[in-house]
Amino acid sequence: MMSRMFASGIVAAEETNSIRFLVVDQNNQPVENAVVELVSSDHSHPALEPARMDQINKSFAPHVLTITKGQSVSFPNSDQIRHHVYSFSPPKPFEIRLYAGTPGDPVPFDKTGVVVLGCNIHDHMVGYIYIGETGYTGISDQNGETDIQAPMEFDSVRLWHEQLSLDGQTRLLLKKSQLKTETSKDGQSIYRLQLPVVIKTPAQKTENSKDVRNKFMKFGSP
Amino acid sequence: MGVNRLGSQILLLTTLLVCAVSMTVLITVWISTATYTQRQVSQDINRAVKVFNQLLNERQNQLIASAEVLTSDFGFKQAVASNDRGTIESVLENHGARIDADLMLLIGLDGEMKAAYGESGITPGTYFEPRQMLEDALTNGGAASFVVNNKQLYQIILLPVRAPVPVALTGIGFRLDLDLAQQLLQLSSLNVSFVDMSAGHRNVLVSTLNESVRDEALMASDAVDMTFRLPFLKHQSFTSKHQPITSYEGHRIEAVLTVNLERAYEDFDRLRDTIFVITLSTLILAIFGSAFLSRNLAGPLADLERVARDIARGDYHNLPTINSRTREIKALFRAFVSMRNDIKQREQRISYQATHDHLTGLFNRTSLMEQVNANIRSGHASFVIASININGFRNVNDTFGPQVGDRCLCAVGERLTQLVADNPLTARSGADEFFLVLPVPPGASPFVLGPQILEQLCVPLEFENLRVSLSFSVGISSYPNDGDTAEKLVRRAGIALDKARSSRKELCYYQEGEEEAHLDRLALLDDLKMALKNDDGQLCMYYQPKQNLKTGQIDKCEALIRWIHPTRRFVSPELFVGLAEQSGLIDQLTDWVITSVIQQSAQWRQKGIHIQIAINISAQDLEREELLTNVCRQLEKYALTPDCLSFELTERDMMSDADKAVLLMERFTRHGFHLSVDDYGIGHSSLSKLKQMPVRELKIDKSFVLQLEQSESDQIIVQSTIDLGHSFQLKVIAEGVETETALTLLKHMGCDYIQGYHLARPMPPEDFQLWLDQQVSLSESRPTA
Repeated sequence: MMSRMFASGIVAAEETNSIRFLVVDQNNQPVENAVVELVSSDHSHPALEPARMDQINKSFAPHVLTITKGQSVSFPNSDQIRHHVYSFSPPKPFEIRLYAGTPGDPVPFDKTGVVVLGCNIHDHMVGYIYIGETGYTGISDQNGETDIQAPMEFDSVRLWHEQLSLDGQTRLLLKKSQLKTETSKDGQSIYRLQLPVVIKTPAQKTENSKDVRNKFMKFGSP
Repeated sequence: MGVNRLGSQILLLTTLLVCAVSMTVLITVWISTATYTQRQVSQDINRAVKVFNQLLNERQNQLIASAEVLTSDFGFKQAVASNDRGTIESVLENHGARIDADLMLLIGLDGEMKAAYGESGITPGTYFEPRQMLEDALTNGGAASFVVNNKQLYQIILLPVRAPVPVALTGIGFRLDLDLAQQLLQLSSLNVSFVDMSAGHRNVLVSTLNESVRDEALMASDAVDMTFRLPFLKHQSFTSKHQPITSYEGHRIEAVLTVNLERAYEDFDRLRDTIFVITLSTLILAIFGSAFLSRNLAGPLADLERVARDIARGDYHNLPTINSRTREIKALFRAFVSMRNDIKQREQRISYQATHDHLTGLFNRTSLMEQVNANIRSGHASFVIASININGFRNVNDTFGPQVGDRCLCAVGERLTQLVADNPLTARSGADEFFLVLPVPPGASPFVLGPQILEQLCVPLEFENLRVSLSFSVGISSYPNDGDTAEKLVRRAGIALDKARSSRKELCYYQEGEEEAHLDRLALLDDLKMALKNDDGQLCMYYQPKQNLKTGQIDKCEALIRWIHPTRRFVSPELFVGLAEQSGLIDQLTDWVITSVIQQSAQWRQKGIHIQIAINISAQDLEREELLTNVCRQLEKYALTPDCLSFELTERDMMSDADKAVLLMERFTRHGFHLSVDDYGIGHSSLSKLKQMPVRELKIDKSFVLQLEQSESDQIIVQSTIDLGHSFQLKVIAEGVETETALTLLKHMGCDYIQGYHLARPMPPEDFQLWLDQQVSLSESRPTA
């Protein structure tokens, strides 16, 4: 919901055409929170407002934030506790030491790629900032679908999902010619993007340190 | 030693019992303990293995915890993210030191070594092995395993470095060295060995086992075998549990947990040895105890057995002292002593009774003979044996009572004993018969001793107010003249005594040949018994007529017994009748005579011969009551009257106990029999006695008649006897008349009857009959004047 709102916000100024994508995993299951970026040789850089990555209930909100290269992101803290947001990702290692409320300046992201956000105090907090080239990006909803409003044609698409690689840095580049299309119920053409991995639901991924320890080999057990 | 001995039996029994009990206890305790111990050892091992695993798990958790602390350190994450190798290595060193890790690795998500710290020998650029562990660590958020690196065993914890998603993996290794293994040993009491089996052979990495037993221990079975741990045998020394501690392919590391069974069975072995020692000591104790017991029991018993044998042999002196503390043994011994004393006393008493006469205390005949024999054997000088008989002792008893009789016997014994100064050898045999052994003084004749004895005895005995005068018959035989054995001497003294008694003398010495004559008489007596018993004609009656001088008639005769012996032919009646009188056979003989005479009388009566037959009877016959009854019965049987018989009794028999004889004879006269005094004139009859006698006839002894015509004194005696008889109203008969002259003399003297060869010899009945017929015819042809 949040991603859709931002996506429409970005492309509001120009006349656009809507391009629809469906992201599925290896098992043809729809994948949520996958980022689709349109890659084109000509594209404009609209002036960009700083994006916002909030921290609510010891979670990053949104879980995945797409921005465009050169855009800044502010990290307000809506929780009553302090957070220590950091990233060691190559596009932008940074650290905002323990703070409450909104820290000073937004953080600028000048390189494309994926920045994995963490909180030094709350290990389980993970957030992703996808820094796109073009700014035409979309985040799949829980049906795996996304709608990108773009003023131009695209040559290829970049596809990313946090589970595509362990470090979350890997992005796939797919030629438009390679893409399969299918028709949706309402008659529109949809590009079907398949991830080469099996995506686990967030519930499956929930783990804490004790669970982890139980998975270690036990001596003396059969 | 024999199994039947008491001691051996006690020993055997005790030993067997103790053996059985000990063995039962030993085996029972052994089996149960062995079973228990085996179960206990197995349980202990399983428990120890659990403890060991628990230790490993706890250690692993600790290691994981500390590794997690390390990987979640922000500084560490920062350093890792810096991608600067130098920085990373220094961080690895720094943080590794914090948790005392021996090996620190930083591994890329693809397995490539980025940095290492510690005795790793790992160079960056190589890849981490085992690969599966890496994947497990990424999938599961961490992995732990044992890894052999550089010949060292490490427990490696592999954790992703999250920033916040995994950016790398860090490996934290803890070396498992001997110290740790020793700690594990102390905590779990298991010998711990870590063995790398990856290469297909056993490669011992760390072991608390001693090098020398390591191979054996590691090869040992993982089960504890049931064992009885018999001594001196080889036992299972170890048991080893093999436990894989890695499960990655190509990496096979086992923890081998070994228990030294020798140590586990230490208590058991000690118990076993203790039981052995106890059993052995009990056995030894039992053997010694029963040996002591058996010595205590069997020793005294053997002594008592010896004592019993001694007693049985008659040895009462050799009595060992028995040292036994056992009360029963002591009691038994006391009983033995008491028994011995009692037996001794009893034996002395019995022996005294067997050798002595109980009344007088003198020896008995048997023991006297033994001692005489002993004297003879020991070369004793000459001595005499006197056999002494109290005449008519029965009268003493009858007259004064048996008490006085007994006192008389004792007094006689005393007197005899007084005859010999030392070691008097006197004996009493039978009621009134004594024996005395009297040594002959050197140089003296044995014949002086007889009168000495009589002199000693003849003094009347005096008891209180009683004076008893006894007469004795003494027969003497002397050694060595009359025999060289006691039997012979005693027998010959007896013969001499018999002689004395039968001849009514006080003293007789044995004379050579008398025994033979005695034996001859005995043989004759036997023959007489046989003759009486068989009645085969050896004995027969002869009859000698008596002539009435007044009428010239033969109206009486005397029955005389004759014995024609098969070999000796004629046997003198004096001889065999005397024998019969002495031996008591006279009763039978008289009965035979009476029977024979009465039959003869009956026969003659039938033939018309009326003649009174006189039968000789003795004093003994007179005393037999049944004799008279018998005579009467037989007379009745043949319907004869008493006047056909008369009885002749010698003057001596009649006068020996005249008063008694009178009473007895009156019985005969009451029945109507006539009695005659036979052999009158040679006895000592007093006229006053003769006057009392219920007799009808006096028979003048033939010794006065045989020489009548030559001897004037005989004529005077005969004449006076005839006159005397007539004055007592008695008929007088003279026997032994052999001549006509004597007959004429007697006729003139007024004699009533004659008997003798002049008239006729004694004849068998047939001849007597013929003779009678002749006399009748003679008297018819020559009428009497």
